[in-house]
Amino acid sequence: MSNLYGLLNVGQVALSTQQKAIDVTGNNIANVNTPGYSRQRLNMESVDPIKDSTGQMSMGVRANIKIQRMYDQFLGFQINNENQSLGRWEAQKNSLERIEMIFDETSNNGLSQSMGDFWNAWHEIVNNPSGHVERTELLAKSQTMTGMFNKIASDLEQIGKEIDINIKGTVDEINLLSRQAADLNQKIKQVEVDGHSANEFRDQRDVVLKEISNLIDINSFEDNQGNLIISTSGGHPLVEGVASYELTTETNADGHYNVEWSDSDGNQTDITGNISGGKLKGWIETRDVEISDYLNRMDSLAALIMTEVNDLHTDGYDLNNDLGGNFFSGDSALNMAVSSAIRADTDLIAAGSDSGDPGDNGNALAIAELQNSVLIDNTTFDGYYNSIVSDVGSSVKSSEMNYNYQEAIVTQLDNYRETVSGVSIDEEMINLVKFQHAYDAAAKLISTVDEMLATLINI
Amino acid sequence: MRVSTNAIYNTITNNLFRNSARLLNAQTKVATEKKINKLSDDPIGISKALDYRKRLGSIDQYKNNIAKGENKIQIMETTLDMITNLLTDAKDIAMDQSVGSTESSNRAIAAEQIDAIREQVLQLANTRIGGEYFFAGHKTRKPAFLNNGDYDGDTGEIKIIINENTKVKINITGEDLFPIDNPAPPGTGLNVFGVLDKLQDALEADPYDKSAISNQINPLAKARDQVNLVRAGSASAFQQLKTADEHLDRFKLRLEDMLSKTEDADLAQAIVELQFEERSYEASLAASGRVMQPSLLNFLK
Repeated sequence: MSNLYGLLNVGQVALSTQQKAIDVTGNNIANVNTPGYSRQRLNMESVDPIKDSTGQMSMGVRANIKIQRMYDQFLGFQINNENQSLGRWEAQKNSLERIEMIFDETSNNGLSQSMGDFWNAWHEIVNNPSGHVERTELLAKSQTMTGMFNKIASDLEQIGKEIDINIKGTVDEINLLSRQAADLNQKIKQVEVDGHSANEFRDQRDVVLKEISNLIDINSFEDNQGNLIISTSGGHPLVEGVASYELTTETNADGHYNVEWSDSDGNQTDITGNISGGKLKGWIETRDVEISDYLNRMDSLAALIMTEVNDLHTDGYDLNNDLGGNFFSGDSALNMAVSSAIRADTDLIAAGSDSGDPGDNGNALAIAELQNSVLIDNTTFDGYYNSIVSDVGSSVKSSEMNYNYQEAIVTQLDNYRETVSGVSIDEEMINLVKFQHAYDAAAKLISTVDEMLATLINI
Repeated sequence: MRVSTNAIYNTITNNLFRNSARLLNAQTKVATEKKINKLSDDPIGISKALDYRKRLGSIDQYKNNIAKGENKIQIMETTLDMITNLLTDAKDIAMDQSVGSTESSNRAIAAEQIDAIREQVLQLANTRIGGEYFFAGHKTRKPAFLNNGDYDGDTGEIKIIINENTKVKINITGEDLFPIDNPAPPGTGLNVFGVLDKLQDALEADPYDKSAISNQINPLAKARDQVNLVRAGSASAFQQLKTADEHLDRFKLRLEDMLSKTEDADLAQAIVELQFEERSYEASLAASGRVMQPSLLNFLK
């Protein structure tokens, strides 16, 4: 004979189980737009039947205490890996695009044009060596050109400084995220120690991990106590269980920031060279490789123009029949300038090659022809500058291509993640209907058993 | 395959971003009429474009130099032409006065004419172009010839740049124009002014010596020939400038064409592209609208 009270129990447990299932469904629906949320599922299993004198007696349904979190761990690793490259190319692309604007030669107002104007002004001196107007023009065009060199150099250095500010901000953010991850490690351990599931904390921890991977290259794995260990690719731990380690910035010999890792005793290690991914890598690459390359080349160009012109100029004669002084002063693109003597008195421009005679234009002729001489790197001054401009364009283009490629990959992976972990409103609606019907049926079972009991009692 | 709600929205968003980025690019091309609006649009193309622009700038400067040189040479040519005529006149006067017997009054008039001719030749030899004494070599701020006929300039050459590594001398120094000891007999240390002075003295002499007059005929002829000689040299320089100018013009046309091919957008093509992008953007908007709206909620009672 079956146990009516047992049946009542089955009905009651079924009711509460279906209600719990609707609970979980409701949680999924509420969190459909929460970033990083993984859908949850209540797993039900049938209870083992009990053997009694009349045979097997079924015991109904039981809900698993652990609510399942639909999540592909391998996919998570992949996403974080690709995210590091994405962050790197994004940072590199953005900073290189700033540099691209400095070298804007698409209109006719760049350094290329003003260098041409400078050499043409020497041609006019050739045409009229003692003319005051031509000398004043030459001075003006020279100052325009040196001004442009100054500006390009100082703009490049300015971008370097802004990158430093970004690096500092990112390091602070990484530290904040590391502390959050350690906190979450703590909370997850506390919840899961008695077998419950800490799904929301795990989701949050994944979001934190993803954000860190965008900023710096990391490796991560979860130990068997549920702790997430995060360390940089260079092997320095950022989060170990409930403890987090900090990154700091230190100014180096070039006046820029190095990224350093502090251990628990406060000793600092320079990890700048070991960073190989994330936004930090992108910025460091732009600052230490690209910007320094362009600055060096601009400095070489400026220095050589000054040297060549000065060499000829000091061998020539000015209008006072004196040997010319230096035409340019300075030694780099940043401090290139027309010498103050020439600025004060254009008669000191040494146009003559044999004497200060007003018709002697030999030296001006030689200087004008410097424009077409192959003097630097097997090419002319213009050719050298053109190759700098072209290289900037290529750099930007290739970083844009890399970024687009990475973005497509990450988007694809995110879509896969959505396939596994994303909430589908349609599916949840169906589940809602499903569990509600089951709830109704269980309620009907209870009322049926109630009637049966009443019949029995009224015998 | 399981499709989550967010997957739908994310895909729509990404597609719309991609299409609108292409639309923006097409719009920029039409607005600026250039293919290259940023260095990264075409790094190799920008390098070529900069090279073309530099060459075009140089060509304009060379043409400018040539124009100024041609101007100077033309003024010089006019001057030398007048000098030639004057020297011919002087020679004719000497010839007239050296045949037959002439009245002293005729000779006095002839002497005055020679004086006037000498005056004019001196003025012409001291021509100024743009404030510079053109026949003075490098010493262009002082007259080339002193009043006594001595040359006060130097042998400096004035060259202009007409192309890469191509320089042309455009001036004539006083020593080339009126050399010492030619036309005058060698050893006399005289140039044409000295010859004219001697002619004048011979005409004014009393009693006059016919041979003194006739001795000046050949020197004057030689002087005139010398002027014509330097005129020929100057003419060939002028020809060189003209030829170079024509070459530069043709080269400039080709360069402008190549520059345009490198950096200009074909407007018709750019507009067609723009329309295409507009259509496809509208199509993706319409498709997104249809996909986003219905869900099971609409159909459950």
